[in-house]
Amino acid sequence: MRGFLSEAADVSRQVLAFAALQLEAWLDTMRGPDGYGGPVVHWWQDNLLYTGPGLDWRYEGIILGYLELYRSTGDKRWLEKACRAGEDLLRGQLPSGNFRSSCFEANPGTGGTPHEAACDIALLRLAWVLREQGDTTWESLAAAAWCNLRDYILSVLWDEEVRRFRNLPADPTFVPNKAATIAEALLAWADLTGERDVVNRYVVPSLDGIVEAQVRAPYSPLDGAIDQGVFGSKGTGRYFSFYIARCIPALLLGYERTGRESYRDAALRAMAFILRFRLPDGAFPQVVYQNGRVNRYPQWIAGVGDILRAMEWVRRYGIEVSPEPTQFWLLRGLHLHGGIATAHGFGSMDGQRPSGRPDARDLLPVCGWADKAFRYLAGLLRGGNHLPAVQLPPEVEMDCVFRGERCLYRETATVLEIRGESGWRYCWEKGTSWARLIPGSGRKRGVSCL
Amino acid sequence: MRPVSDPLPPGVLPDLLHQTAFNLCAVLAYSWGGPARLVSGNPFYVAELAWRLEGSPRKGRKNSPPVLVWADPRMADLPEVADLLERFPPGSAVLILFARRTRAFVPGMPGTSCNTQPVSPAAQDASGAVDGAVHGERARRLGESGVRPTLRLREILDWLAEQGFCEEARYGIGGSAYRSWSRLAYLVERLGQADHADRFRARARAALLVESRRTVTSVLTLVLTARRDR
Repeated sequence: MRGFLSEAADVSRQVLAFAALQLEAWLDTMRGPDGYGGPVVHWWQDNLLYTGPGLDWRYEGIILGYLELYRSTGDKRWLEKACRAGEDLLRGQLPSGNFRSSCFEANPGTGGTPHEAACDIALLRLAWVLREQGDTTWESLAAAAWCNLRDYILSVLWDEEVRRFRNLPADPTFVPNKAATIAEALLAWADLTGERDVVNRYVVPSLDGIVEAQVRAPYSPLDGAIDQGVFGSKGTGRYFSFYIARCIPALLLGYERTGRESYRDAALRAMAFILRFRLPDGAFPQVVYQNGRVNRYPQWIAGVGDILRAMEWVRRYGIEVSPEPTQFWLLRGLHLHGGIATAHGFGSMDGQRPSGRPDARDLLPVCGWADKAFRYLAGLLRGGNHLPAVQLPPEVEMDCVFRGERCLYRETATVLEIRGESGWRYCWEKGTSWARLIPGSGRKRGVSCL
Repeated sequence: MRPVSDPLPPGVLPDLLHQTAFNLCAVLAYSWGGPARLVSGNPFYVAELAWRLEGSPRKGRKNSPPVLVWADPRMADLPEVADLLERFPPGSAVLILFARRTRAFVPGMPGTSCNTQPVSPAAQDASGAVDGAVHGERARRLGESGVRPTLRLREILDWLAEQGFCEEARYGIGGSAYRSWSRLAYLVERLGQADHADRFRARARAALLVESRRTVTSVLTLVLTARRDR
């Protein structure tokens, strides 16, 4: 049910175009009155309860994916959809400059990192395109992004004493992938306005911090890994392929803007580390630890869009990278109804033994992961590609395991449900802000909803 | 409803247990369908719950019975709650969010030394004025005792039962299994074994919510009661 490609097949542009448009059609089903919603699953924690709009990093991939479609086709409807998403962010901006419900797995909290910076990147890139078109609405988009950058990211998160961005206002940990996202946002601001001060004052120290967090051990398999977080001078000893990949575009952009070769070298070494741990099927382990041990699960599927995008970046520097195994891994996760599986192995996080049936969280398509696949796939389209018409089937059903029970996952354009033998375990009517829980079901089986 | 306090500043989030409890509270209130009212003497709970209950487009279906969310119940809340319940029709519900006062070590919770996440002040604050002017015999007895400013869950449920509210469902957040795995994760992290710590965290996470019969040791408990008859 899940896949439609064999590894023997070539990943043609047509297939990639079809996948991008399928995802686009599915994303449209996830829109509510105020934006893109839906449950969230993550390595850190899940959030199946809040399902309202999340003004978090999903907007980065959605808006930039639409801009890629517009760039490659010239079709105005993609630009209009990017603008529609940009308006979601403007409407959801608080007087403080923060975005409403910007904490992804911790929604509906606000002040999420790196989520708000990711929204800023999207707004600024969209503003750039609109300005090129002579559309004056670019100014309001740029102003919203700057308001967030100035009043929250630079005012609250920047620690002038150590010249690093904090993880959160109350947590001084330096988190390289978050700093990288902020650096990208500030570079986008500098590109748009010509203002260089933010580059020298914030971007350069941040990229220096990322380089410092990188393992330099030429004969070790860990060479090139970037620690997930650094508190004082102590790292966490955890290296995530996905998060390391998110540092690479910022490092290479930093190199292009400043000419500092250490950034380019760090990016290339980071990619070498990622590829060293790539599995034969194109997937990546979730975490590699300082002691050399590996935590394989969950292996991201939709999220590898960002790893593939990082591969595209390093290829521009003449580095031989073969994306095909990971492209296959990504495409195998596509559902027939257009969504894309989030991961493989959520049910094996503690035991590290692969299970037979997929966990419901594996199958669950999440806007904040699917956007990464969408952005990558949309970026592969070229002008001459014929864009096929996409029609999603009315519903899709898949076997899964939910909280240890065999269940059925069902999704249509209007609802997402998980059903056990004795009734519903989870139900979300698309467009609503909270999942539905049937009172009373908790008495027999504990909780019917996470 | 009491005045809404300022919510936490951006980027300062409740701990995982409270986040889950607040979200589950909102889900249960909206699932009930009617307009939601909030009573709580705990400013942190008010701040976090008020906007969750107001923020949904489904603010209450027409003609659906109301639901009262009573968070971190205290003696001082009794007059207001009793007054509201007087006007609640059959089919209406009371949802109680009960925080167990515990000095147990819970990583990520207030008062522990291993916090790496911003935490809520909820479980630390047990203050509250005693107010004896309440409706109902049980409420009056509780209110006039003046011994405990906070209420026990059993006392609350007994009092609600006298008002015609029967328990429909109960959910526990942060039970003994969750706390045990969390502690273990914390300890092995301190020993430098990040890989083992992550596996224990995954087990803790799988045990975050517990079923109705095992909520006794939970840090937070949600109980849904409904008025079946007057």
